[in-house]
Amino acid sequence: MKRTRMLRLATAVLTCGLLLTACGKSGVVNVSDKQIGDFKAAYTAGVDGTAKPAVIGAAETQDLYDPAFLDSGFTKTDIVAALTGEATALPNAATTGHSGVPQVTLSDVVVSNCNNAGPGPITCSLSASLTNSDADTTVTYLNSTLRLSPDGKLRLVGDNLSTTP
Amino acid sequence: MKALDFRNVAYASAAICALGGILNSGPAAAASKAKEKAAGAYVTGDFHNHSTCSDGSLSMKKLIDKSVNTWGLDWFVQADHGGSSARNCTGLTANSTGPYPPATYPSAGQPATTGKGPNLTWQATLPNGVVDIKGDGPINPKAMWRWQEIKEFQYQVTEVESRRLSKPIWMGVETNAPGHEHVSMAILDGQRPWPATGTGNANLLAQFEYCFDRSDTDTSRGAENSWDCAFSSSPTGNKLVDATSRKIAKAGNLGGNNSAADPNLGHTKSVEAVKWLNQFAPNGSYYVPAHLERAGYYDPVAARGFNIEHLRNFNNAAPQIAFGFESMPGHQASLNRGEYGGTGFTRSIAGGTFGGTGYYTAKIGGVWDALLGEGRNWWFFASSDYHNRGLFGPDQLESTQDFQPGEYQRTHVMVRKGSNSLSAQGVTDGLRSGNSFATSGQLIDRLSFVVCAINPLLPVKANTALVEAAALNSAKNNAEVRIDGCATMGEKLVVRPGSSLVVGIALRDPDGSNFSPYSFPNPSLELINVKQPLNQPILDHVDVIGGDVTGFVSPTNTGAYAGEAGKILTGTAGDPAATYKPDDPATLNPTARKLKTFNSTNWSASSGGFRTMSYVVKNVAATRYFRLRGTNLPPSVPNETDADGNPLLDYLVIPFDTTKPGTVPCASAACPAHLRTINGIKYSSFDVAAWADLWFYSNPVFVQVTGSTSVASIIK
Repeated sequence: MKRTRMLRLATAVLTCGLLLTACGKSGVVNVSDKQIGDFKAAYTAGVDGTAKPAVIGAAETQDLYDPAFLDSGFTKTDIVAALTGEATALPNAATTGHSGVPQVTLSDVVVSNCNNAGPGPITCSLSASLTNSDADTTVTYLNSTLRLSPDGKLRLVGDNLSTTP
Repeated sequence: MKALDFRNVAYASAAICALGGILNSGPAAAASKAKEKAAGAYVTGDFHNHSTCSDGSLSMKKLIDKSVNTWGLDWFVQADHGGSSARNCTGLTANSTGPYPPATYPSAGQPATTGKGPNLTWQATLPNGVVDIKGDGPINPKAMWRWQEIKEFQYQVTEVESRRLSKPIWMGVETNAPGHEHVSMAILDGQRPWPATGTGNANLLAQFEYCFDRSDTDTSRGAENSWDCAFSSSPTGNKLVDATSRKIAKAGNLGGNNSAADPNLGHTKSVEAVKWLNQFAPNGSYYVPAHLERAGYYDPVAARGFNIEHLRNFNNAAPQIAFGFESMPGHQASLNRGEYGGTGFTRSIAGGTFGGTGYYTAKIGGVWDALLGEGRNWWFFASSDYHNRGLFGPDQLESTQDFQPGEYQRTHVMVRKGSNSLSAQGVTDGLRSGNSFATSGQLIDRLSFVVCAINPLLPVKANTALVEAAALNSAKNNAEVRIDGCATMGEKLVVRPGSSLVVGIALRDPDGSNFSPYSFPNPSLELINVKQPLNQPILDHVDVIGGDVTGFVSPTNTGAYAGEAGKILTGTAGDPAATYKPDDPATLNPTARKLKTFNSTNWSASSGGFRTMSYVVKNVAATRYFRLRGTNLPPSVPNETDADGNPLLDYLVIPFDTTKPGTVPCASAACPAHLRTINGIKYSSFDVAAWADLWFYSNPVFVQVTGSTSVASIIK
């Protein structure tokens, strides 16, 4: 337990030091606007490009996921396989009839509550509105967790659940 | 030798058609893009009910009025039997059913009588008497061939009533299929129901009845019509056409039926009927076997039931005409539910109905799953098959025989309105599309069932939230989910190998009462100490059922193509002592199983009775399908459901042996007097048994995995 706390503190100090971010008291971490902005831009670009093989298959899109990503039973390996699979399938849709995946637009993307209160590295909350307007309009919400990696990037880490709903 | 000849004709034609079907199935068309789908709504109707034009008790006018104004249906197809009838069914009613429309309905309903329906004959009421009755027939009073009734009398009534009620109402026939029992069919071509204007006709339907109904033994070629039932796309069938009647018929077998002298002739003629519809009315007709388990297994020398190979043959011959079956039969209030089993139907498949549904559907992994497992577009429908209310009058609410159209069973079908109004063609297209579901007892009245590919860029819960939100929105609007990357009933989603899916469902368990007249506790649920008013059913759970799709079976692969299911070996259908042959492999889909159950513990309830649920299927490697069923009965209700929630045979005593007690007591003092009563104990039976045991079935959503088996092209 002591070792874990030490490691977490070291990570926070190192991250704050390296990225020149101001770390608040009581474990609250102020991740920089640039870090947040970079993530939001990359993630929004990825989501917007769900139907574009060049986007969905890009390394930048795959890099949105933390190596420890686990989201309702899906690992980063699963997600990368799905992204590359879609990138391969989409160009052949005219002949295969491939249906693609539902597409949404993101709005009100918010990264908040960055802290190092829990075990492990600094995490943040991600929330956004999702809208599908293919024919009828459907609006719902996205909530997930991000992790600040040692390289200073925020990445999706998932809900840490190993079973599918 | 003759038998072999006819069988060869049937199998050869089926093989050719199957090959065509297979060739046509690839590459298969995916579900339409959302923007290409006109907005639509599910509308309720019924395509199989009888009037006094055959053996029903109500005039067409009163039956149609009941379906729309009393029970609230949006569309209706008047489908009497084929053959002939002596009763003038379009004149004034002159008996207990009263004049139409009635001046008032007696507050207690009209009295029960044994004589039902008008008994005025055509011969006694037509201006020139028997001279006005066309075609063959020496009987006095002479019966009128149904083709003449349809063409000259019935159609005109439906057109007027359709416009009076501003509903699509048109003519069909419950045809006596040669070699089999009955088939619900219609030909819209020529008819002009609301909202169409002008004068239409049912000439093509009348011709079909003449040409292909085995009970129509008229040889007159439709008198002045001079019909010729040979047709250009049927060189093999044309060789069987009789020189005089110009239809498939033989001396001593004018109906062209199966017989000892002509084994399988009838089935061959029925396949020809499907081809004929495909040539002359490819968009306006359908051919849907009715209560297909009732008459039992197929018999090559008689007119009886349907085996799976016959359904395959019909579908192969014309998949856009023969696209489903009525496996939730009418007659649900009869003592032998669905009229399956007991006297008259001693060979019913597997002994009877299961929760009011035939064995071909009720058995997971059975005939329907076998057909879906081929990737066939083969859909499930319900009908009321109303004739009369047994001991009760037509305006009473109790019944010991049938329910009226819309009173108990409904088929909900997607009609894409776009900028146009609801229309009969829209309903026909909707039936063909498979975007439909069927219910009993208004257990649910809204359903949005969708399968979507998972968007890997979104968290899984965001995917499920999106699908659930879309499903709930569409259920609230009585519509469907229209999102690219999703497919609904009758459609297929095309995905890459390894894709993951969200199965999403939203439905409405309507508040308040259904049309049951009984508010005493559901006697079946009382067996497990649940008190629930019989007229206020609550959906207990929904099962997701699925199976693999492994491709069309060739007719030449006889062992996989043809076989019997639920065939009685000894005893009488419905008798617990009866024995049955194990189902043949051709009738099975061993991969089909219950995949998931939703109930109050894992669905989200929202106001107005809406329930929303979803689950994720990971890494789909091969083509498959999903379908739904739901019921008001939990698993393990004695004599109703097994531990896995499957419906049990609806009676465990011979239905007409009234000396035997029933299986579910009806203990309330309010239980009606007409129930089966032994030693002063009433037992749930007739309409009470039907209202106690409610189900719904959805049509499937296919998921086709690229590089795996293709699903037949969905026909729009």
